[in-house]
Amino acid sequence: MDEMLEDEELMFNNEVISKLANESVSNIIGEKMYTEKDSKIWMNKIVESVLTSLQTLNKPFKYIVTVLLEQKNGAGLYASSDCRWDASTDGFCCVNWNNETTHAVITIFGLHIQ
Amino acid sequence: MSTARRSMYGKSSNKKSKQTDLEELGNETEARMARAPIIEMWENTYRMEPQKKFKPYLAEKEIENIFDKNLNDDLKYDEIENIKSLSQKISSEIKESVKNLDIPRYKIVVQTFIGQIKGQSLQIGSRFLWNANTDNYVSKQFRNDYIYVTSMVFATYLE
Repeated sequence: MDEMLEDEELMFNNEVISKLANESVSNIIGEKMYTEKDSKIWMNKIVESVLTSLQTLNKPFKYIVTVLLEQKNGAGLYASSDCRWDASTDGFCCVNWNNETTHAVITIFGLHIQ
Repeated sequence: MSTARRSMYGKSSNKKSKQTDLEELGNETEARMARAPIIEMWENTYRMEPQKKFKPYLAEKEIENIFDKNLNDDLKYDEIENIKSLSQKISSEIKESVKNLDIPRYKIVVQTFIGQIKGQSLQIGSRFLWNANTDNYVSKQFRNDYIYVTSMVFATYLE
């Protein structure tokens, strides 16, 4: 039983975190149209809400959350990341979210403490 | 007489079998020990703060060097395979050079965005939940008329 708990604590839970991120973005942006002024406000709100909900998970992880908000224009984008970490305990989650005018990419890195 | 012999043989054979049994047992335990997982015990270092901290300005210099080496003003977004390998190449080169700065017990995360400029509006932001005394980040941007490149390096201390 103790071993099972340890495993759950150690693992970076991809499903739960991607659900959290999806919900946060849908709540904050929803179906609204992209404007430059709104995008700054949205970005702050999204990042804050994702981080506070990660905090409530209460796991021994340090989190890094990156949000990219883009107007849909037909422009291309490539994102890549490279990490030096402990592959057994650390992980990351990447969420793509779309509405008619906005494209959002949320990346969450979780680094285990100890 | 024959029984005695048999018993003698029996005894001797018993002894042999006992010996072989012991040998087998010995081999078995050795084999089990060889198969048993070696459990590493980590001792306490009693160190509260890192001996060598992550210095952001050094990492920024490394990123600048790598940008100058790989990116110039004529780079366009036309060849998609090139851009894909370029973004991965930049990420791995930045990671290698930050590793070469030789800062022990730090975990490093490098993230690179390369996008096409087509008159769209774009916002990139990041926020962290970590120990502000020991952990830090660096970010650098590059832009020409066709593409933009943003690179972020995060370094967190492992207690």
